[in-house]
Parts: sequence; C-alpha cells; structure tokens
Amino acid sequence: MNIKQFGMISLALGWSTLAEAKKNKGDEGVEIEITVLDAETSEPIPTAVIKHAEASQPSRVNTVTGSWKDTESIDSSGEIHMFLPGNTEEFSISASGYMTQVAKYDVRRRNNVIEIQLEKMEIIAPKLDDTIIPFGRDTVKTDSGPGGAQ
Amino acid sequence: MNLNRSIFGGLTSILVLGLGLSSQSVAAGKQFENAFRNVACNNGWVACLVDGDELTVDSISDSRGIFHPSNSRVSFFDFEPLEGHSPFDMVDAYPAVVAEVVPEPEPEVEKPIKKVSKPRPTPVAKVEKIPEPVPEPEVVPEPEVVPEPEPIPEPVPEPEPVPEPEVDLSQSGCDDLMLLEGSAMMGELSGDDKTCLEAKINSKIPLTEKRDVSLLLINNAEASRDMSEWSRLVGRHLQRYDQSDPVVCMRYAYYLSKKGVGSASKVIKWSEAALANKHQWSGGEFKKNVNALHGMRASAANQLWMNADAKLTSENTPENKSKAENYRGQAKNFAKEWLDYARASGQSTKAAMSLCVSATQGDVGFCQ
Repeated sequence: MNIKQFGMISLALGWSTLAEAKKNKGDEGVEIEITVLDAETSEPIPTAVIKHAEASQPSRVNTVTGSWKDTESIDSSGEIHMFLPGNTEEFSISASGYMTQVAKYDVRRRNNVIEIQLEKMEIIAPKLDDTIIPFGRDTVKTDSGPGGAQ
Repeated sequence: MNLNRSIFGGLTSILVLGLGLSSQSVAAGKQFENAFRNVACNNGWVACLVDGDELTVDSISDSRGIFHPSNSRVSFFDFEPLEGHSPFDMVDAYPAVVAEVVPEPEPEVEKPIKKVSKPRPTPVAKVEKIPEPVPEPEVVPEPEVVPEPEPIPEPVPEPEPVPEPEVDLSQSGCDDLMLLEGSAMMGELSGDDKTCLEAKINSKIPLTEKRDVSLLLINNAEASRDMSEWSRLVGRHLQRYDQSDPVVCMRYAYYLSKKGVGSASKVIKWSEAALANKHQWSGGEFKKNVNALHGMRASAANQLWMNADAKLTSENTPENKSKAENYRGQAKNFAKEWLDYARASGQSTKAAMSLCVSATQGDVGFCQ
C-alpha cells in the first residue's frame, strides 16, 4: 500500500465517521434546563428533585445552582424518551418542605431554560390547646361494691 | 264451627281490652315517670345521702342482699322498699366538704362540716361516708412498712423514709384528691399541697392512685400556665403511670410539635399512642382529634425527612441517602394515611394531599 492509497482510505474513513456523527446528532433530544428557586428568597433549592412524567426515578438538582438539565428521560422499562422540539413535556418539581409543582413545557429548538419557583409548605395544625385533660376518677374498690366479694 | 267462633270472639275481646288497657298504662307510665325519675335521687342528682346512707349510681341491695339498680324503688323479689323508695322524702343535706372531718374524732354523722371557699366542680361524683373520722389510720398502708425491719440484728432505721410523708398526707388533706381539684383547676394548689402530692405519688400507693395524683398536678401546672413544669409532669405521667388516655398523649404530642424537628420523633410516638386509644372518643370529637393526630404525625415525619434531606445535600454519603429515603418513605405513608382518613371522614384534604404529593416526589398517582 503506497502513501496515496493510505491517504485515500483514511480520508474515506474520516468522512464516514463524520457523517455518522452528524446522523447521530440529528437523533438526539434537545437539552432542557430547569432551575428550582425558593419563591420567597429566589435562592436555589438544593434539595429539589425533578421528575419527567415518563421517567422512572426523579433526578436531583445541582445542589449549588439548583438546576438540572438533560436531553432525555428513561422510563421504568428502559425506553429512552428524547426531548424533541415541538413536543410538550411534563415535569413535576418537588422538594421536601415545599409545595410540589407540575410544569408542562413546549420544547423549542434551543434555549430551553425554565425557572420554577416553589412555595414553602405550611401545614396549619388545628388548635388543640382547648382539649382539657380530665382528672382521674378511680375509686378504691371495696368488697361491698358491685362485683365485690360477698 | 261454634267453638271456633267463640274462640275468635274471645280473642277479639281480649285484644280490644288489651289495647284499652295499654293506652291507660301508657298514661299511667308517664305519670309514674314524672313522680319517679330515672335517676337514683329524687332531687335529680345521681348520688345523695338518704337517711345517712349513700345512694349512688352503684347497685343497691335489698334486705336479702340481692343487688338492684340504684333507681329501683322496691325490691323486685319481695316488694320491700329500697333506699330511694319515696319520691317525696327529701334527701339529706349534702355535705359541703366531706374530708374536712378528719381532724376531730367526732363520730357524729349529722352535721356536715363548714364549707371551704374552694369551689367543688362536681359535687355528685363522690360521697364519702361521713363517719370516717376514724379511718385515719386506714388511709395509708403503713402496716406493710413496719413489719419489714423484723430481721434479728439491730433496730434498723432505714426502711422508715416512707411513713413520714404519709402522716403529713392526712393532715394537710391531700388524701382527698377531689377536694383539691377545684384549686388545681385554678392553678392554685399551694406549695404544701404540691409537696404533699409529690410525697404521695412517691409513696407505696396503687398505680391508679398515682395516676390520679399526677393528673391533678398536671392540671394545676396547666392552669397556672407553667408549661415547662406541665411538660415535665406529662412526660413523667406518660412514662411512669399511664399511656392509655388519648387526650394526654395528644396534648403532649401537640405541645412537642411546636418544639421543632428535635421533638419530631416524640411527636410521632405520642400521636401513635393517642391513635391507639382513639376508640375512647366519639362523634365530632373523634373526627377532629383523629384528623389532627394524623396531621401532626405526618408533619413530624415531614420535618424529619426535610432534616435528613438537608443533611444529604450537605454530605452526600450512602448512609445519609438511605436515611433520607427512609424518612421520605415514612412521611409518604403517614401523609397517605392522613389523606385517606380526611377523605373518608369528609374533612379538608388540601394539606394532606400537598404533603403526600411532596413526599412521593411527583408520583401523584399514589395519592389519588
């Protein structure tokens, strides 16, 4: 094999690899980025998790930025669901101590950046202070009483 | 045929006569009910003194010793009059303070002692036999203590710490808990009373009596708004004397629920203890309390989960991860139970649903 032949072969190989890569890129989903913030302070919520409607497991956000990004989700049977432009994707965003939010998003070709603000959960317990603790009412059992020994 | 006809005629006349009589007897019955109320005492109370004898909701016995309901007027077997026979005789004057008799050894039954200014909340609940000045010695089970130091060697002075307070008990009057209830309800138990009650609770009395003493002290602490003392007393009550009263457990869980995540495990514990005895409630009280208990338990579990989740975020170790998952599972289950109860009992499900959805991390189907 002379140098000319070797050059031709490597050029063909390189071109096919590039073509394959291009083809793969066309099949990939587009990236969606969600940032979860506290509605009061606008600070990132480090404990937040995001679950795509078809995903089997929720994903945690980055603890520093409070954001998560991906191009696809995997369901419980291992099927990959890609985020494609034009589709509507549903995410539920939750964090311990916050109200969960469900967001529907129309995927675009680029710049899919979403900001979600979660409100703190307040559980107002009913007032129970007015429930009075009763006094004890036991009396010492005597033989003459009902059920006593005769 | 004639025989049949005559039988039919006879039956008809009996029926007609019976109907006439029954309408008469209904009227007579109403008169009877007016004259003889369905309570033991003719003054309307459920307990009283009739000719010096105590008449309560307990059974009474006739001359042959056979028991009858206390509102019976005559013996079922021989028609002999029972204690509450006459609706017209007035019952004896009710003694204002029964236990005050103790100091003087007068054997007289007649005169109740002077009224003390303290209010008696439920005058009906207990009537002590008046000729009780004598029982002083019987009040405390001292005899058991004395025989113990019998061993041969030397006159043992040790086993005597108990009898001393017991002597004080009868003198300061903390034997009769009902007498102290009025003061306890106002948070006005004196220092002596409290000391006496504490001595009593630490003496050798039955557990049920200790429970009653403890409840008295708890009520006094609450009425005087000394909540740190209240929580100490309730904690002791639940640990040592009684956990079967759902109100005490619920109130303690409620108190702890305001103390933050540090008390969350205890909130769960005492909420569950109260739920275990929820059958003691009924109607609206049942619904309100059970829903509140489910809510407190779920909220406490949520706090624990939040705490574990925050720890996991700051330190992502397998151990912290497993803890956070366990607490999340607990919160999820409690929230679901709360949601189910609220739904079944027709109460608001909003908070329960929020908590449930949050704990399932978006698995809304679980909470439906």
